[in-house]
Amino acid sequence: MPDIIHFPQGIPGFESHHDFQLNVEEETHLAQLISQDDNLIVFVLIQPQAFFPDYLHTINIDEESLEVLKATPDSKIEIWTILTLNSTDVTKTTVNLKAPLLINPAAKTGVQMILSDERYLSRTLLFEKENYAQDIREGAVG
Amino acid sequence: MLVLSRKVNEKIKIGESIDITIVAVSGDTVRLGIEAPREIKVLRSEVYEEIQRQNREAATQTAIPEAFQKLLECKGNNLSNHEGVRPHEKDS
Repeated sequence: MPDIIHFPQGIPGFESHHDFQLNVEEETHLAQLISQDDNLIVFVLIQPQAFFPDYLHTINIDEESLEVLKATPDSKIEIWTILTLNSTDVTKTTVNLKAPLLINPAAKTGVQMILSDERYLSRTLLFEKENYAQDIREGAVG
Repeated sequence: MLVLSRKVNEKIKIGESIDITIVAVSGDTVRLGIEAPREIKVLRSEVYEEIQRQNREAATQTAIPEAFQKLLECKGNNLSNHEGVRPHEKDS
């Protein structure tokens, strides 16, 4: 049974959308986040650590976000990032590391937090290594 | 919109808890110092707008395309190694 996650502040660009269905596909580290107000609004999410092992080992969540998440000191907050797929060339898929989605599974609440860290970009190539990308291109065709 | 003129080192107070100081002016660049409670999010507007734009672009895709699913499957090994040593590190 998929979870409905409540985003009290909406998501930037979709501020009036507050409830999203989260469908996690465990094996691929992927998930879909579907707006309950408009099911054509669908985000494709990925667990960033699967691709970027050094991403956000420690994260300072601001107080406003903690409040929005109804987080307690014991809360285990999940981090997801939004993919922007490239329909003509999958190797150009980018991931938004600048603004991860934080989800508190216990309270079924979520927030998109914009990091002040300038190192993280909203358009980071998911497949950064050229040979790796080549490998994938062949795999995707075959 | 309220428009105020301020000199360097002068401040503007917003409500009880937010103070903005004009730190320096150089050409067309103004440096501001912002003192606000931790629960108030302070962002450059263009950063928020960039995230809005990025989200709108990302959300127009209605499903995970087959090709993408496929490439993740064929890269399954690489993905599942993220908690341990990466294979290519052993070669170097």
